[in-house]
Amino acid sequence: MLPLAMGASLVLLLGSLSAHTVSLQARMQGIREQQQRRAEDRLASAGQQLLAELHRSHPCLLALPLPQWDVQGLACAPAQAIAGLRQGQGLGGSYRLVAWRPELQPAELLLELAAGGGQPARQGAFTVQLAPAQPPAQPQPQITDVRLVGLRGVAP
Amino acid sequence: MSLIELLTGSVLFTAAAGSSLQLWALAGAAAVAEQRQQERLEQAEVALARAETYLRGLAPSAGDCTTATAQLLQALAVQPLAPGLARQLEVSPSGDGVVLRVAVAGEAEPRQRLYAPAAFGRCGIPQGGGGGTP
Repeated sequence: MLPLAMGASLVLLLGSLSAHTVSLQARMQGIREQQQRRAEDRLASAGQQLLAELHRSHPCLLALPLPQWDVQGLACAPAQAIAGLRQGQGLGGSYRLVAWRPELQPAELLLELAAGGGQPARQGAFTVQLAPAQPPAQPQPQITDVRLVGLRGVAP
Repeated sequence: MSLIELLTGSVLFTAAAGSSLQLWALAGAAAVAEQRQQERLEQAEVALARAETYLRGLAPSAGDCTTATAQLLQALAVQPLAPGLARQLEVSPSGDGVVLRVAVAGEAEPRQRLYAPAAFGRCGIPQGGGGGTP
């Protein structure tokens, strides 16, 4: 009788512990998803902030790939402004401009969020639709749409 | 089978069954709470997506971006919001974007995103912007 009772008790306890573990795992998964969403929020906001700043103050840089900003870009934007665009402060943290490729269709923007608050550094890729320049009415390309298309962690 | 063995076995089984029942109840309650929280979080996601959809639906204008921002702010303020969510809207420090914060009951931090009409081509290039040829 006693071995039977012990066996049945063990089965009951193990079963309920498994159920509890599953519910804890679901909670952890929920927390991870929220962290991912918050990272997307920060990246999407940084992308919009950067593009709005380009649109507002330095639309001439929209036509130039990032490596050329410090060469040809200096003809239309001061070095300090370019440095401010390369590294900025957005909603919830700082970000870095990793790549801008207007020669692609659609153009590609790559931003990196700094690590912080227990979160790793993350990169976000955006596609940016540009309407080509039509001088003299529109001497520079104009942004018509932006989408965050991917998010990935960055190895420390 | 002795009486002591029977009593010990019964007590052991009863205690295990009671503990198991409590654990199942805890797990069940946690699963239900998590499900409800996930639903609220999904609703927050919908509210943010709706803001972006609205922004894409704005007619492009050659006008000032602050005008498009004011229009966006007014439109977002009257968007429906699911129960358990609270919305806060403010104009970004640069004045040409809207920061939308959606607080979800039970979450320490709100979701927050910046929406800039300029990033969607919904307003014109201001006069005096660095529009020179590089």
